[in-house]
Amino acid sequence: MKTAVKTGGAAAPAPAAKKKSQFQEVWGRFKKNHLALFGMLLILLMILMVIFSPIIAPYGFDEQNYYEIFASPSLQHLCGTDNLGRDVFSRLLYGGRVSLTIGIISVGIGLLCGGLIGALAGYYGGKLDNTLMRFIDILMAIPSVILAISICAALGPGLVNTMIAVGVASIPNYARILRSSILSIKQQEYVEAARAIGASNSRIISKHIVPNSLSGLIVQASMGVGRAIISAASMSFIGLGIAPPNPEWGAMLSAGRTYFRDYPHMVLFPGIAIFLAVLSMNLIGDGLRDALDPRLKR
Amino acid sequence: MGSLLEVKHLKKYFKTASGMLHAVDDVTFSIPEGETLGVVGESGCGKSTLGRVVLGLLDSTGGEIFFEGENITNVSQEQFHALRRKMQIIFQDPYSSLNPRMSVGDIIGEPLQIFGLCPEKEAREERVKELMRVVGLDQRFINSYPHELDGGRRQRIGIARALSLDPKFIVCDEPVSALDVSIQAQILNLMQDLQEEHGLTYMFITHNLSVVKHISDNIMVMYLGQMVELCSAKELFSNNLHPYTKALLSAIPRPSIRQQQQRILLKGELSSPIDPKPGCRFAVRCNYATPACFEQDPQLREYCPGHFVACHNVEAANQ
Amino acid sequence: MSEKNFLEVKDLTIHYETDGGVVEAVNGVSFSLAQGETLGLVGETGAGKTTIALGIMNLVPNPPGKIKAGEIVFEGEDLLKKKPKEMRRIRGDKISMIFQDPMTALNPVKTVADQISEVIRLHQKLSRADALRKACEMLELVGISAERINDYPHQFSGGMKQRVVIAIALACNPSLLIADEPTTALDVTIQAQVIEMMGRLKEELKTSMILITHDLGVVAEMCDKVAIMYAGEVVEYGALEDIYEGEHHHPYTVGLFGAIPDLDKDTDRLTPIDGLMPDPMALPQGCNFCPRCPHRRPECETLPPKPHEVSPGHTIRCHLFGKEEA
Repeated sequence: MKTAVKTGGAAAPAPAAKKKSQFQEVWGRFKKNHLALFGMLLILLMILMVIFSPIIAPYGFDEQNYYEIFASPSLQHLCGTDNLGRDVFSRLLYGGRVSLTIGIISVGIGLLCGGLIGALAGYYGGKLDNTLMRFIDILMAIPSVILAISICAALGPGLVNTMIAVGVASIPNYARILRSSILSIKQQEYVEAARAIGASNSRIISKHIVPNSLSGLIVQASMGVGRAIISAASMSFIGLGIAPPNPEWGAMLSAGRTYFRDYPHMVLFPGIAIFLAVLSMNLIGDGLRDALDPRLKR
Repeated sequence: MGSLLEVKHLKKYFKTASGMLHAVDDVTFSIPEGETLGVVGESGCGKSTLGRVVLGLLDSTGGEIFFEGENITNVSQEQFHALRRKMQIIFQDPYSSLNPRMSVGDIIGEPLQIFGLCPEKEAREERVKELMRVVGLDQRFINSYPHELDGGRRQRIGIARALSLDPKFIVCDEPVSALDVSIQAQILNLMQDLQEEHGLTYMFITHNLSVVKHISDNIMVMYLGQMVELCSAKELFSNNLHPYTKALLSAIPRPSIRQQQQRILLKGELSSPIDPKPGCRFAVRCNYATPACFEQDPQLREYCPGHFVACHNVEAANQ
Repeated sequence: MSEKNFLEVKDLTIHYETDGGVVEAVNGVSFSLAQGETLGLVGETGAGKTTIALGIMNLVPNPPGKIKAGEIVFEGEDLLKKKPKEMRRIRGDKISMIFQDPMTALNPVKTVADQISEVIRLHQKLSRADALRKACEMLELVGISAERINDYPHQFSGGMKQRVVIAIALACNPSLLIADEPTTALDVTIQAQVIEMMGRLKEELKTSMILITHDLGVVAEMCDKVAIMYAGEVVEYGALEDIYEGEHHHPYTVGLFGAIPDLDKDTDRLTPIDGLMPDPMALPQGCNFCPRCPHRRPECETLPPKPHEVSPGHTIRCHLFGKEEA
């Protein structure tokens, strides 16, 4: 009864294209975004360098050399040395192990817990929403650094505990964002349509609501990596995070602050490292957000 | 006799900040198998709510719903789930009723997946293609996303999804209001064809009177949550009784310059039925209102066989 | 010419140049309007109706929109040659527009009084008090009691809001009113009230009007002239009688009328127009309607048809007509 009129352009995808898996499709769209690819390359490079730091690093991270205190960048010390004569470049490499792990894992913790809380609160509403959100409000009422410090103080110092502390402190952020976008997505007719075809609540949340409300969360998470690195630094600054002499970007940054006027390289290079990590995460985040949305195809 | 769906004194109230909203108030009707009941009314008359309560998507406040002779009022989760295979819905807005992140094939195949029909991927894809053929969608769109298609094709996806479980009864909530006239006619024809082939029973909710006349066997007119008139489609257009029905019919702009009929202009606007006072809800806008109309709820009565009307002054209005 | 037709649109062509390609939204549209007349622009989604309206207001979003060719002569002057500042003075004063959705056309945080008097004070040197008095008059004119002048938009119902929008549009007594689907968002009984009111005001104020709609019923009630649009072109243009009665019609017009379920006849099946609107980025080479046309001929596929005058004032853009001259 209906003749398939060729309309060309927008409404005519390749005839009988083979069904690609979700991952292939997202990757296919991600690939087209050159900036996101660049970000991905950058972070991969950083991760590789950090993993192989014992091989790459010219000096040990705690190797002090009192003859070369505050040396400016040179061929010998690519990024100069610090107040104890330690090679900044080597410390950056070793420190990256800690900082990148903290950045990524603690954001992961925050994203997972916060996302779950936000999703449940937003979807079910009512009493559950009220209870969860008041809990989040309590978390929010405490400044996140102080919250992280108290968690850290309770659990004791150390890498894992720092990650937990920083991650938990960021939960309210993610929970709030996901909840608000879910509240609006929940009103969409396709959610009702899913109910009408008999989809279970978990299916509706995971297949219909969450995928459509991720974009804000992804942007927030990619910026959260930088924030996590910095808050981990304040943790080690007061002796709760990573114990010196173990290096860590944030700690290096705050240690160099005192000498900033005379020896800016001590601050500059850790700063650049954090900047590059955050930049690449942001680029990946933006790319991912677009790639996950089929409406932005082409 | 032979009624697939029977609704008795159905009520649905919503709690709002300003009081109890009587979205559906004491509605009684039945739909024989294979027929179409048209539900017309203006915005806020509760017609969409009625459709959702009948389907079980919303719980009712009072009254009973029988489907195939079985009481399905406020059923348990499991029964609700099982009912989904028999009762389906087609939505108004083909733009917001499809998940933008799922491909056409996934959308149509999702009900099959949920109910574990065609567990194998290949079989499911075959079934999806079959459904696409039935609703007149080209198979090359199987991996497209909804936003790549126009409104008419999107509505076909919605219809295919509703059909995928082979239901007996479909609530059509304004399925063509968002479409252009030339496409609207295509979809209406498709729905009629499907009804004939699959023996479907429709509850067709719309504000468009010409569409409802075209597709329905019986028509129910609603005003602010209450039914004001129920009769066969022919009867409604030739021998309508309720003053509101008359005004509604005369208000439709006709696409013709010959027969511009005398228009009955109503006073005032639609209010919303929040904590309604007793009395006819249409009385304030009615040209035939008498003091009794403001005091007593008009009862639905069978004015002549098969023709129900709720009005105190049917005789006066029809002189 | 300009005495009789105070608005004349000639060969208006508007394209949207996007990254994905050029959307040919309006292609060589011409029509004219005399004082006090109402023209109905009828067509389906994507026919370019709203773009024409924006073109006349000089409000086509640029980029991506671009007025490629044509003139819009209004009261003897070409609007397309006007500077932005001159155009601002005309908009809202001599030409004003009513938008489709009354729910979003009003500013929710300003009172109706503010919104009506704003447009008055923008174009007329009136004191605040005088503007307010004028605003009250306007409100009464559209059938709302002046007591409600200090209410906020959310305190009005849909139909009332559309009345307020109309009051704003008419506040400066424009000579041309462009109404873009003014009643589509309203309920039938409310639509009837608004149509009745607009018809009355048009008589009273002698305003010319361009009514954009897809509803042939509304057109039948309000318009003197009708332009049926398809894919950015006027396919049939003529007086109301020509379009609704007339002997000759464009196949699309016939299809459009055929697709509406008739209230007064019993039909078992509707006769839809096959197929879909063409993609405005890839219009057919010949006649735009050709892929859906039941009467298509070989020449339709290659040669774009020219408008042909079948009777005085009634033109049809189709190869079925006007063979002898072509």
